[in-house]
Amino acid sequence: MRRAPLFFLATMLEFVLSGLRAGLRGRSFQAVFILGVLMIGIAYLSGFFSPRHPKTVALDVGFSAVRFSLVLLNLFWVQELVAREIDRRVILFSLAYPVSRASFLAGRFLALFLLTILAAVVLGLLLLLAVLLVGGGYVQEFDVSLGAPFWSAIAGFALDAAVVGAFSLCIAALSTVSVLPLALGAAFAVAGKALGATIDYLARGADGDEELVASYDPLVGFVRWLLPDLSRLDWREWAMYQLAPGGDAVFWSVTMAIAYIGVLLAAASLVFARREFS
Amino acid sequence: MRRSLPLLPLTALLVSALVFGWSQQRLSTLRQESADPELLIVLPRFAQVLLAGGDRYLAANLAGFRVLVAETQYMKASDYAVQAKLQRDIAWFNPLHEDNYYIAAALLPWNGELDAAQYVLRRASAARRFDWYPLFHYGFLFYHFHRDPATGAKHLLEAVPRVNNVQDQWALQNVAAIWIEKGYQTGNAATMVEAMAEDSPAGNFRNYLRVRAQRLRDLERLQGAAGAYRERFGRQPERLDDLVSAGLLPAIPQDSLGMGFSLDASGTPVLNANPPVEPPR
Repeated sequence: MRRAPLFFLATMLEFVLSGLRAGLRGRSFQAVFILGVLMIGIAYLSGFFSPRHPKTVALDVGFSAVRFSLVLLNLFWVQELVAREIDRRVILFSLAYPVSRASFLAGRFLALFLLTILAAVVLGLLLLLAVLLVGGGYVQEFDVSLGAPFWSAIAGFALDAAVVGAFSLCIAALSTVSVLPLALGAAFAVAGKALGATIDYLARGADGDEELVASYDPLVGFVRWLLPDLSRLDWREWAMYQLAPGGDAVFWSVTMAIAYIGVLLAAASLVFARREFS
Repeated sequence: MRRSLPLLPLTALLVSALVFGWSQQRLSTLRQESADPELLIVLPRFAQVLLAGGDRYLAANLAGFRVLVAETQYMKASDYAVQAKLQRDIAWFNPLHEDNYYIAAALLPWNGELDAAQYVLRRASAARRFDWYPLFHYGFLFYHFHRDPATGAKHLLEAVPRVNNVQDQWALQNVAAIWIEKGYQTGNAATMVEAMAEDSPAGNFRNYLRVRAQRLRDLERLQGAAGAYRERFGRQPERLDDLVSAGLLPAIPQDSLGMGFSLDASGTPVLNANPPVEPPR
Protein backbone atom coordinates (compact mmCIF):
# COMPACT_ATOMS: atom_id res chain seq x y z
CA MET A 1 0.00 0.00 0.00
CA ARG A 2 2.85 2.38 0.86
CA ARG A 3 4.26 1.83 -2.56
CA ALA A 4 1.17 3.23 -4.27
CA PRO A 5 2.43 6.82 -4.79
CA LEU A 6 5.72 5.48 -6.14
CA PHE A 7 3.89 3.19 -8.50
CA PHE A 8 1.74 6.11 -9.64
CA LEU A 9 4.87 8.13 -10.35
CA ALA A 10 6.53 5.29 -12.20
CA THR A 11 3.56 4.64 -14.45
CA MET A 12 3.14 8.37 -14.97
CA LEU A 13 6.75 8.56 -16.06
CA GLU A 14 6.08 5.87 -18.63
CA PHE A 15 3.22 7.93 -20.02
CA VAL A 16 5.42 11.04 -20.01
CA LEU A 17 8.13 9.30 -22.00
CA SER A 18 5.78 7.71 -24.49
CA GLY A 19 4.02 11.07 -24.80
CA LEU A 20 7.28 12.88 -25.50
CA ARG A 21 8.25 10.35 -28.13
CA ALA A 22 4.86 10.46 -29.84
CA GLY A 23 4.71 14.25 -29.56
CA LEU A 24 8.03 14.81 -31.27
CA ARG A 25 7.33 12.24 -33.98
CA GLY A 26 3.86 13.47 -34.85
CA ARG A 27 3.19 14.97 -38.27
CA SER A 28 1.07 17.77 -36.91
CA PHE A 29 3.81 18.80 -34.51
CA GLN A 30 6.24 19.13 -37.36
CA ALA A 31 3.72 21.06 -39.47
CA VAL A 32 2.85 23.49 -36.71
CA PHE A 33 6.47 23.91 -35.79
CA ILE A 34 7.33 24.84 -39.35
CA LEU A 35 4.40 27.27 -39.24
CA GLY A 36 5.91 28.80 -36.09
CA VAL A 37 9.26 29.22 -37.78
CA LEU A 38 7.55 30.83 -40.78
CA MET A 39 5.69 33.22 -38.51
CA ILE A 40 8.95 34.28 -36.93
CA GLY A 41 10.14 34.96 -40.46
CA ILE A 42 7.08 37.19 -40.88
CA ALA A 43 7.95 38.91 -37.60
CA TYR A 44 11.39 39.64 -39.01
CA LEU A 45 9.89 41.11 -42.18
CA SER A 46 7.30 43.11 -40.27
CA GLY A 47 10.14 45.00 -38.61
CA PHE A 48 10.79 46.66 -41.96
CA PHE A 49 7.35 48.27 -41.84
CA SER A 50 8.27 50.36 -38.86
CA PRO A 51 9.95 53.71 -39.44
CA ARG A 52 10.77 54.35 -35.78
CA HIS A 53 11.19 51.09 -33.91
CA PRO A 54 11.73 48.07 -36.20
CA LYS A 55 13.08 45.84 -33.42
CA THR A 56 10.10 46.53 -31.17
CA VAL A 57 7.62 45.75 -33.94
CA ALA A 58 9.48 42.57 -34.93
CA LEU A 59 9.54 41.52 -31.29
CA ASP A 60 5.87 42.36 -30.84
CA VAL A 61 4.72 40.40 -33.89
CA GLY A 62 7.15 37.60 -32.97
CA PHE A 63 5.69 37.32 -29.47
CA SER A 64 2.21 37.01 -30.96
CA ALA A 65 3.55 34.34 -33.32
CA VAL A 66 5.14 32.39 -30.46
CA ARG A 67 1.95 32.52 -28.43
CA PHE A 68 -0.13 31.43 -31.41
CA SER A 69 2.23 28.57 -32.26
CA LEU A 70 2.49 27.30 -28.70
CA VAL A 71 -1.29 27.27 -28.30
CA LEU A 72 -1.73 25.50 -31.61
CA LEU A 73 0.99 22.97 -30.73
CA ASN A 74 -0.72 22.20 -27.45
CA LEU A 75 -4.05 21.67 -29.14
CA PHE A 76 -2.54 19.29 -31.67
CA TRP A 77 -0.58 17.43 -29.03
CA VAL A 78 -3.71 16.86 -26.98
CA GLN A 79 -5.37 15.68 -30.16
CA GLU A 80 -2.53 13.30 -30.92
CA LEU A 81 -1.58 12.07 -27.44
CA VAL A 82 -5.02 11.80 -25.88
CA ALA A 83 -8.01 12.34 -28.14
CA ARG A 84 -6.82 10.09 -30.94
CA GLU A 85 -5.77 7.33 -28.53
CA ILE A 86 -9.26 7.35 -27.11
CA ASP A 87 -10.82 7.54 -30.54
CA ARG A 88 -8.83 4.64 -31.91
CA ARG A 89 -9.20 2.63 -28.72
CA VAL A 90 -5.40 2.45 -28.41
CA ILE A 91 -5.90 3.65 -24.88
CA LEU A 92 -7.39 0.31 -23.93
CA PHE A 93 -3.94 -1.28 -24.28
CA SER A 94 -2.46 1.29 -21.91
CA LEU A 95 -5.25 0.98 -19.39
CA ALA A 96 -5.28 -2.82 -19.54
CA TYR A 97 -2.30 -2.76 -17.16
CA PRO A 98 -2.99 -2.13 -13.51
CA VAL A 99 -2.39 1.61 -13.74
CA SER A 100 -4.63 4.41 -12.64
CA ARG A 101 -6.29 6.46 -15.30
CA ALA A 102 -5.22 9.60 -13.47
CA SER A 103 -1.58 8.66 -14.02
CA PHE A 104 -2.27 8.49 -17.75
CA LEU A 105 -3.72 12.02 -17.77
CA ALA A 106 -1.07 13.43 -15.44
CA GLY A 107 1.70 11.79 -17.46
CA ARG A 108 0.31 13.09 -20.72
CA PHE A 109 -0.07 16.60 -19.34
CA LEU A 110 3.49 16.59 -18.06
CA ALA A 111 4.70 15.42 -21.46
CA LEU A 112 2.66 18.23 -23.01
CA PHE A 113 4.22 20.76 -20.67
CA LEU A 114 7.78 19.57 -21.33
CA LEU A 115 7.17 19.65 -25.07
CA THR A 116 5.77 23.19 -24.69
CA ILE A 117 8.86 24.34 -22.83
CA LEU A 118 11.08 22.79 -25.49
CA ALA A 119 9.13 24.44 -28.32
CA ALA A 120 9.10 27.76 -26.45
CA VAL A 121 12.87 27.71 -26.03
CA VAL A 122 13.50 26.89 -29.69
CA LEU A 123 11.00 29.46 -31.01
CA GLY A 124 12.32 31.99 -28.48
CA LEU A 125 15.89 31.52 -29.72
CA LEU A 126 14.75 31.95 -33.33
CA LEU A 127 12.85 35.11 -32.44
CA LEU A 128 15.87 36.43 -30.60
CA LEU A 129 17.94 35.93 -33.73
CA ALA A 130 15.29 37.58 -35.92
CA VAL A 131 15.11 40.64 -33.66
CA LEU A 132 18.89 40.97 -33.52
CA LEU A 133 19.08 40.90 -37.31
CA VAL A 134 16.23 43.29 -38.02
CA GLY A 135 16.75 46.99 -38.47
CA GLY A 136 20.32 46.70 -39.69
CA GLY A 137 22.37 49.56 -38.35
CA TYR A 138 19.39 51.69 -37.29
CA VAL A 139 19.68 52.63 -33.62
CA GLN A 140 16.31 52.91 -31.95
CA GLU A 141 15.84 55.63 -29.38
CA PHE A 142 14.13 53.15 -27.07
CA ASP A 143 15.81 49.78 -27.37
CA VAL A 144 14.30 46.40 -26.58
CA SER A 145 15.50 44.24 -23.65
CA LEU A 146 16.40 40.77 -24.83
CA GLY A 147 17.61 39.27 -21.55
CA ALA A 148 15.42 38.25 -18.61
CA PRO A 149 12.47 40.40 -19.78
CA PHE A 150 12.41 38.56 -23.10
CA TRP A 151 12.49 35.12 -21.53
CA SER A 152 9.91 36.05 -18.94
CA ALA A 153 7.53 36.94 -21.77
CA ILE A 154 8.27 33.58 -23.46
CA ALA A 155 7.67 31.80 -20.14
CA GLY A 156 4.34 33.62 -19.84
CA PHE A 157 3.28 32.38 -23.27
CA ALA A 158 4.34 28.82 -22.39
CA LEU A 159 2.18 28.96 -19.26
CA ASP A 160 -0.69 30.45 -21.27
CA ALA A 161 -0.40 27.58 -23.76
CA ALA A 162 -0.28 25.07 -20.90
CA VAL A 163 -3.59 26.39 -19.56
CA VAL A 164 -5.11 25.96 -23.02
CA GLY A 165 -3.58 22.47 -23.21
CA ALA A 166 -5.09 21.53 -19.85
CA PHE A 167 -8.49 22.77 -20.97
CA SER A 168 -8.27 20.80 -24.18
CA LEU A 169 -7.15 17.72 -22.22
CA CYS A 170 -10.16 18.08 -19.96
CA ILE A 171 -12.47 18.22 -22.96
CA ALA A 172 -10.71 15.20 -24.48
CA ALA A 173 -11.32 13.26 -21.26
CA LEU A 174 -15.07 13.67 -21.50
CA SER A 175 -15.76 14.18 -25.18
CA THR A 176 -16.75 11.39 -27.52
CA VAL A 177 -16.26 13.60 -30.57
CA SER A 178 -12.59 13.62 -31.44
CA VAL A 179 -12.30 17.13 -32.91
CA LEU A 180 -14.09 18.76 -29.97
CA PRO A 181 -10.91 19.24 -27.87
CA LEU A 182 -9.30 21.04 -30.79
CA ALA A 183 -12.29 23.26 -31.60
CA LEU A 184 -13.25 24.13 -28.02
CA GLY A 185 -9.60 24.54 -27.06
CA ALA A 186 -9.11 27.10 -29.83
CA ALA A 187 -12.26 28.97 -28.79
CA PHE A 188 -11.08 28.91 -25.18
CA ALA A 189 -7.67 30.29 -26.18
CA VAL A 190 -9.24 33.22 -28.05
CA ALA A 191 -11.87 33.94 -25.41
CA GLY A 192 -9.38 33.78 -22.54
CA LYS A 193 -6.98 36.06 -24.34
CA ALA A 194 -9.70 38.55 -25.33
CA LEU A 195 -11.19 38.65 -21.83
CA GLY A 196 -8.67 41.21 -20.60
CA ALA A 197 -9.43 43.53 -23.51
CA THR A 198 -13.17 43.12 -22.89
CA ILE A 199 -12.90 43.92 -19.20
CA ASP A 200 -10.73 46.91 -20.03
CA TYR A 201 -13.19 48.15 -22.65
CA LEU A 202 -16.13 47.91 -20.27
CA ALA A 203 -14.18 49.42 -17.38
CA ARG A 204 -13.39 52.44 -19.53
CA GLY A 205 -17.06 52.98 -20.25
CA ALA A 206 -17.17 51.31 -23.71
CA ASP A 207 -16.63 54.63 -25.52
CA GLY A 208 -19.61 56.13 -23.74
CA ASP A 209 -22.03 53.35 -24.70
CA GLU A 210 -23.82 53.04 -21.36
CA GLU A 211 -26.35 50.55 -22.65
CA LEU A 212 -23.56 48.18 -23.68
CA VAL A 213 -21.89 48.49 -20.28
CA ALA A 214 -25.18 47.87 -18.49
CA SER A 215 -25.98 44.72 -20.46
CA TYR A 216 -22.52 43.15 -20.67
CA ASP A 217 -20.90 44.16 -17.40
CA PRO A 218 -22.78 41.57 -15.28
CA LEU A 219 -22.15 38.88 -17.90
CA VAL A 220 -18.42 39.58 -18.07
CA GLY A 221 -18.36 39.86 -14.27
CA PHE A 222 -19.74 36.33 -14.14
CA VAL A 223 -17.62 34.90 -16.95
CA ARG A 224 -14.39 36.00 -15.31
CA TRP A 225 -15.02 33.47 -12.54
CA LEU A 226 -15.20 30.67 -15.09
CA LEU A 227 -12.64 31.77 -17.64
CA PRO A 228 -9.08 32.73 -16.76
CA ASP A 229 -7.87 36.09 -18.09
CA LEU A 230 -5.00 34.77 -20.22
CA SER A 231 -3.91 38.29 -21.23
CA ARG A 232 -2.59 38.56 -17.67
CA LEU A 233 0.17 36.13 -18.66
CA ASP A 234 1.32 38.49 -21.39
CA TRP A 235 4.38 40.33 -20.06
CA ARG A 236 5.78 41.50 -23.36
CA GLU A 237 5.78 45.18 -22.39
CA TRP A 238 8.79 44.56 -20.20
CA ALA A 239 10.92 43.39 -23.14
CA MET A 240 9.44 45.88 -25.59
CA TYR A 241 9.17 49.05 -23.53
CA GLN A 242 11.09 48.33 -20.33
CA LEU A 243 7.86 48.47 -18.37
CA ALA A 244 8.27 45.69 -15.83
CA PRO A 245 5.02 44.16 -14.56
CA GLY A 246 4.37 44.49 -10.84
CA GLY A 247 5.60 41.58 -8.70
CA ASP A 248 2.13 41.20 -7.22
CA ALA A 249 0.48 41.03 -10.61
CA VAL A 250 2.93 38.40 -11.85
CA PHE A 251 2.59 36.30 -8.71
CA TRP A 252 -1.20 36.28 -8.81
CA SER A 253 -1.35 35.69 -12.54
CA VAL A 254 0.93 32.66 -12.27
CA THR A 255 -1.01 31.41 -9.25
CA MET A 256 -4.28 31.88 -11.13
CA ALA A 257 -2.95 29.94 -14.12
CA ILE A 258 -1.53 27.05 -12.08
CA ALA A 259 -4.69 26.79 -9.98
CA TYR A 260 -6.82 26.75 -13.13
CA ILE A 261 -4.66 23.97 -14.58
CA GLY A 262 -5.13 22.11 -11.27
CA VAL A 263 -8.91 22.47 -11.47
CA LEU A 264 -8.98 21.29 -15.07
CA LEU A 265 -6.73 18.27 -14.49
CA ALA A 266 -8.63 17.24 -11.38
CA ALA A 267 -11.95 17.54 -13.19
CA ALA A 268 -10.50 15.63 -16.13
CA SER A 269 -9.31 12.74 -13.97
CA LEU A 270 -12.66 12.58 -12.17
CA VAL A 271 -14.55 12.35 -15.43
CA PHE A 272 -12.02 10.05 -17.01
CA ALA A 273 -12.07 7.57 -14.12
CA ARG A 274 -15.79 7.02 -14.64
CA ARG A 275 -15.70 6.93 -18.38
CA GLU A 276 -16.69 3.74 -20.12
CA PHE A 277 -15.03 2.78 -23.36
CA SER A 278 -17.40 0.86 -25.55
CA MET B 1 -22.76 2.32 -85.29
CA ARG B 2 -21.55 5.74 -84.33
CA ARG B 3 -23.02 7.03 -81.14
CA SER B 4 -24.66 10.41 -81.55
CA LEU B 5 -23.57 13.14 -79.19
CA PRO B 6 -26.01 13.65 -76.34
CA LEU B 7 -28.15 16.61 -77.25
CA LEU B 8 -29.00 18.09 -73.87
CA PRO B 9 -25.46 18.57 -72.45
CA LEU B 10 -24.29 19.90 -75.79
CA THR B 11 -27.08 22.48 -75.89
CA ALA B 12 -26.36 23.45 -72.30
CA LEU B 13 -22.67 23.87 -73.14
CA LEU B 14 -23.38 26.06 -76.12
CA VAL B 15 -25.97 28.19 -74.34
CA SER B 16 -23.71 28.68 -71.33
CA ALA B 17 -20.76 29.61 -73.53
CA LEU B 18 -22.90 32.12 -75.38
CA VAL B 19 -24.28 33.66 -72.20
CA PHE B 20 -20.77 33.84 -70.78
CA GLY B 21 -19.40 35.55 -73.87
CA TRP B 22 -22.31 37.96 -73.93
CA SER B 23 -21.96 38.90 -70.27
CA GLN B 24 -18.21 39.36 -70.65
CA GLN B 25 -18.83 41.64 -73.58
CA ARG B 26 -21.41 43.65 -71.59
CA LEU B 27 -19.07 43.88 -68.64
CA SER B 28 -16.21 45.19 -70.73
CA THR B 29 -18.32 48.24 -71.59
CA LEU B 30 -19.24 48.89 -67.97
CA ARG B 31 -16.74 50.76 -65.86
CA GLN B 32 -16.01 49.01 -62.60
CA GLU B 33 -17.00 51.14 -59.63
CA SER B 34 -13.64 51.72 -58.04
CA ALA B 35 -13.50 51.56 -54.32
CA ASP B 36 -11.21 53.93 -52.46
CA PRO B 37 -7.82 52.41 -53.08
CA GLU B 38 -6.13 53.35 -49.85
CA LEU B 39 -7.94 52.71 -46.60
CA LEU B 40 -11.42 51.36 -46.95
CA ILE B 41 -13.04 50.14 -43.81
CA VAL B 42 -12.39 49.71 -40.15
CA LEU B 43 -13.80 46.75 -38.29
CA PRO B 44 -15.19 47.24 -34.81
CA ARG B 45 -12.51 46.93 -32.14
CA PHE B 46 -13.81 43.60 -30.90
CA ALA B 47 -13.79 42.09 -34.34
CA GLN B 48 -10.21 43.24 -34.74
CA VAL B 49 -9.19 41.68 -31.40
CA LEU B 50 -10.98 38.43 -32.21
CA LEU B 51 -9.42 38.25 -35.67
CA ALA B 52 -6.05 38.59 -33.99
CA GLY B 53 -6.84 35.55 -31.83
CA GLY B 54 -7.77 37.72 -28.85
CA ASP B 55 -4.31 39.27 -28.89
CA ARG B 56 -4.62 43.07 -28.65
CA TYR B 57 -0.95 43.65 -29.43
CA LEU B 58 -1.30 41.73 -32.66
CA ALA B 59 -4.50 43.65 -33.44
CA ALA B 60 -2.52 46.88 -32.92
CA ASN B 61 0.21 45.72 -35.28
CA LEU B 62 -2.19 44.56 -37.98
CA ALA B 63 -3.97 47.90 -37.95
CA GLY B 64 -0.58 49.61 -37.80
CA PHE B 65 0.56 47.91 -41.01
CA ARG B 66 -2.57 49.14 -42.75
CA VAL B 67 -1.77 52.69 -41.73
CA LEU B 68 1.87 52.35 -42.75
CA VAL B 69 1.31 50.94 -46.22
CA ALA B 70 -1.25 53.59 -47.21
CA GLU B 71 0.39 56.07 -49.56
CA THR B 72 0.01 59.56 -48.15
CA GLN B 73 0.07 61.29 -51.52
CA TYR B 74 -3.02 59.42 -52.77
CA MET B 75 -5.13 59.92 -49.67
CA LYS B 76 -8.33 61.94 -49.58
CA ALA B 77 -10.25 63.38 -46.63
CA SER B 78 -12.34 60.20 -46.36
CA ASP B 79 -9.15 58.14 -46.21
CA TYR B 80 -7.88 60.28 -43.38
CA ALA B 81 -11.14 59.76 -41.50
CA VAL B 82 -10.57 55.99 -41.75
CA GLN B 83 -6.93 56.37 -40.81
CA ALA B 84 -7.94 58.43 -37.78
CA LYS B 85 -10.31 55.68 -36.69
CA LEU B 86 -7.61 53.04 -37.18
CA GLN B 87 -5.09 55.06 -35.21
CA ARG B 88 -7.54 55.58 -32.37
CA ASP B 89 -8.04 51.81 -32.31
CA ILE B 90 -4.30 51.16 -32.24
CA ALA B 91 -3.95 53.63 -29.39
CA TRP B 92 -6.58 51.66 -27.55
CA PHE B 93 -5.11 48.22 -28.30
CA ASN B 94 -1.58 49.26 -27.43
CA PRO B 95 -1.11 52.89 -26.36
CA LEU B 96 2.64 52.28 -26.13
CA HIS B 97 2.95 51.79 -29.90
CA GLU B 98 5.65 54.22 -31.00
CA ASP B 99 4.93 54.41 -34.74
CA ASN B 100 1.29 55.04 -34.04
CA TYR B 101 1.67 58.21 -32.02
CA TYR B 102 4.43 59.45 -34.28
CA ILE B 103 2.39 59.05 -37.46
CA ALA B 104 -0.70 60.44 -35.75
CA ALA B 105 1.24 63.54 -34.74
CA ALA B 106 2.74 63.99 -38.19
CA LEU B 107 -0.32 63.35 -40.38
CA LEU B 108 -3.67 63.55 -38.65
CA PRO B 109 -3.89 67.14 -37.36
CA TRP B 110 -2.82 68.52 -40.75
CA ASN B 111 -5.61 66.64 -42.45
CA GLY B 112 -8.60 67.64 -40.39
CA GLU B 113 -8.31 64.93 -37.74
CA LEU B 114 -7.19 66.97 -34.78
CA ASP B 115 -9.38 65.15 -32.25
CA ALA B 116 -7.98 61.75 -33.21
CA ALA B 117 -4.42 63.08 -32.98
CA GLN B 118 -5.17 64.44 -29.53
CA TYR B 119 -6.65 61.11 -28.40
CA VAL B 120 -3.70 59.08 -29.66
CA LEU B 121 -1.13 61.44 -28.16
CA ARG B 122 -2.93 61.66 -24.85
CA ARG B 123 -2.96 57.89 -24.50
CA ALA B 124 0.66 57.61 -25.61
CA SER B 125 1.72 60.32 -23.14
CA ALA B 126 0.01 58.50 -20.29
CA ALA B 127 1.40 55.06 -21.20
CA ARG B 128 4.92 55.95 -22.34
CA ARG B 129 6.07 57.45 -19.07
CA PHE B 130 9.69 57.17 -20.19
CA ASP B 131 9.21 59.10 -23.45
CA TRP B 132 8.93 62.87 -23.74
CA TYR B 133 8.02 63.05 -27.44
CA PRO B 134 4.29 62.32 -27.12
CA LEU B 135 3.89 65.17 -24.63
CA PHE B 136 5.93 67.41 -26.88
CA HIS B 137 3.71 66.65 -29.88
CA TYR B 138 0.63 66.99 -27.70
CA GLY B 139 1.81 70.45 -26.63
CA PHE B 140 2.46 71.35 -30.26
CA LEU B 141 -1.17 70.54 -31.12
CA PHE B 142 -2.26 73.20 -28.66
CA TYR B 143 0.37 75.64 -29.85
CA HIS B 144 -0.21 75.35 -33.57
CA PHE B 145 -3.74 74.08 -34.10
CA HIS B 146 -5.56 75.58 -31.13
CA ARG B 147 -3.37 78.69 -31.14
CA ASP B 148 -3.03 78.20 -27.39
CA PRO B 149 0.69 78.59 -26.64
CA ALA B 150 0.18 78.65 -22.86
CA THR B 151 -1.44 75.19 -22.71
CA GLY B 152 1.10 73.92 -25.22
CA ALA B 153 3.93 75.17 -23.04
CA LYS B 154 2.36 73.52 -20.00
CA HIS B 155 2.58 70.10 -21.68
CA LEU B 156 6.15 70.81 -22.77
CA LEU B 157 7.09 71.51 -19.17
CA GLU B 158 5.35 68.28 -18.10
CA ALA B 159 7.69 66.48 -20.50
CA VAL B 160 10.87 67.97 -18.99
CA PRO B 161 11.31 65.37 -16.17
CA ARG B 162 11.18 62.60 -18.80
CA VAL B 163 14.20 63.95 -20.67
CA ASN B 164 17.45 62.21 -19.77
CA ASN B 165 20.05 64.83 -20.61
CA VAL B 166 20.30 68.32 -19.22
CA GLN B 167 20.80 70.00 -22.59
CA ASP B 168 17.53 68.70 -23.98
CA GLN B 169 15.80 69.68 -20.76
CA TRP B 170 17.03 73.22 -21.19
CA ALA B 171 16.05 73.26 -24.86
CA LEU B 172 12.54 72.11 -23.99
CA GLN B 173 12.18 74.68 -21.23
CA ASN B 174 13.49 77.33 -23.60
CA VAL B 175 10.88 76.47 -26.23
CA ALA B 176 8.16 76.56 -23.57
CA ALA B 177 9.39 79.97 -22.41
CA ILE B 178 9.35 81.35 -25.97
CA TRP B 179 5.84 80.03 -26.52
CA ILE B 180 4.57 81.69 -23.36
CA GLU B 181 6.46 84.93 -23.96
CA LYS B 182 5.86 85.54 -27.64
CA GLY B 183 2.62 83.68 -28.26
CA TYR B 184 2.02 81.95 -31.58
CA GLN B 185 4.55 82.55 -34.36
CA THR B 186 4.47 80.84 -37.73
CA GLY B 187 8.26 80.62 -37.89
CA ASN B 188 8.34 78.69 -34.60
CA ALA B 189 5.82 76.20 -35.91
CA ALA B 190 7.91 75.77 -39.08
CA THR B 191 11.01 75.07 -36.97
CA MET B 192 9.12 72.37 -35.05
CA VAL B 193 7.93 70.63 -38.20
CA GLU B 194 11.42 70.87 -39.74
CA ALA B 195 12.82 69.20 -36.62
CA MET B 196 10.21 66.43 -36.92
CA ALA B 197 11.19 65.89 -40.56
CA GLU B 198 14.89 65.67 -39.75
CA ASP B 199 14.08 63.22 -36.97
CA SER B 200 12.27 60.85 -39.39
CA PRO B 201 13.91 58.16 -41.50
CA ALA B 202 14.52 59.12 -45.13
CA GLY B 203 11.62 58.48 -47.49
CA ASN B 204 8.14 59.70 -48.38
CA PHE B 205 7.25 60.44 -44.82
CA ARG B 206 10.17 62.80 -44.31
CA ASN B 207 9.48 64.47 -47.65
CA TYR B 208 5.88 65.01 -46.64
CA LEU B 209 6.92 66.70 -43.39
CA ARG B 210 9.42 68.85 -45.27
CA VAL B 211 6.67 70.05 -47.59
CA ARG B 212 4.55 70.90 -44.55
CA ALA B 213 7.46 72.81 -43.01
CA GLN B 214 8.14 74.62 -46.29
CA ARG B 215 4.51 75.77 -46.46
CA LEU B 216 4.86 77.26 -42.99
CA ARG B 217 8.11 78.96 -44.00
CA ASP B 218 6.38 80.42 -47.07
CA LEU B 219 3.50 81.57 -44.92
CA GLU B 220 5.95 83.20 -42.56
CA ARG B 221 7.46 85.12 -45.49
CA LEU B 222 4.02 86.19 -46.69
CA GLN B 223 3.08 87.34 -43.21
CA GLY B 224 6.34 89.28 -42.94
CA ALA B 225 5.67 90.95 -46.27
CA ALA B 226 2.08 91.78 -45.23
CA GLY B 227 3.48 93.43 -42.07
CA ALA B 228 5.88 95.47 -44.16
CA TYR B 229 3.02 96.42 -46.50
CA ARG B 230 0.98 97.72 -43.57
CA GLU B 231 3.91 99.77 -42.31
CA ARG B 232 4.60 101.25 -45.69
CA PHE B 233 1.05 102.03 -46.87
CA GLY B 234 -0.80 102.24 -43.56
CA ARG B 235 -3.49 99.80 -44.71
CA GLN B 236 -4.03 96.06 -45.22
CA PRO B 237 -3.21 94.41 -48.54
CA GLU B 238 -6.39 93.51 -50.40
CA ARG B 239 -4.97 90.67 -52.46
CA LEU B 240 -1.83 88.60 -52.12
CA ASP B 241 -0.66 90.00 -55.45
CA ASP B 242 -0.44 93.45 -53.80
CA LEU B 243 2.63 92.19 -51.94
CA VAL B 244 4.34 91.35 -55.23
CA SER B 245 3.35 94.57 -56.98
CA ALA B 246 4.63 96.58 -53.98
CA GLY B 247 7.99 94.87 -54.56
CA LEU B 248 7.94 93.14 -51.15
CA LEU B 249 8.09 89.64 -52.66
CA PRO B 250 9.47 88.45 -56.00
CA ALA B 251 6.46 86.13 -56.44
CA ILE B 252 3.72 84.39 -54.44
CA PRO B 253 5.26 81.13 -53.22
CA GLN B 254 4.06 77.96 -54.93
CA ASP B 255 2.42 75.49 -52.56
CA SER B 256 3.48 71.92 -53.41
CA LEU B 257 0.35 70.56 -51.73
CA GLY B 258 -1.77 72.58 -54.15
CA MET B 259 -3.84 74.32 -51.45
CA GLY B 260 -2.25 77.74 -51.73
CA PHE B 261 -2.50 80.79 -49.50
CA SER B 262 -5.07 83.52 -49.05
CA LEU B 263 -5.82 86.58 -46.94
CA ASP B 264 -8.18 86.35 -44.00
CA ALA B 265 -10.67 89.08 -43.04
CA SER B 266 -8.00 91.07 -41.21
CA GLY B 267 -5.68 90.99 -44.23
CA THR B 268 -3.26 88.46 -42.72
CA PRO B 269 -1.97 85.69 -45.02
CA VAL B 270 -3.21 82.22 -43.99
CA LEU B 271 -2.95 78.67 -45.33
CA ASN B 272 -5.89 77.44 -47.35
CA ALA B 273 -7.53 74.37 -45.90
CA ASN B 274 -8.84 73.28 -49.32
CA PRO B 275 -7.53 73.62 -52.85
CA PRO B 276 -8.80 76.79 -54.56
CA VAL B 277 -11.92 76.33 -56.71
CA GLU B 278 -11.13 76.34 -60.43
CA PRO B 279 -12.99 79.17 -62.22
CA PRO B 280 -15.57 77.80 -64.69
CA ARG B 281 -14.41 77.84 -68.27
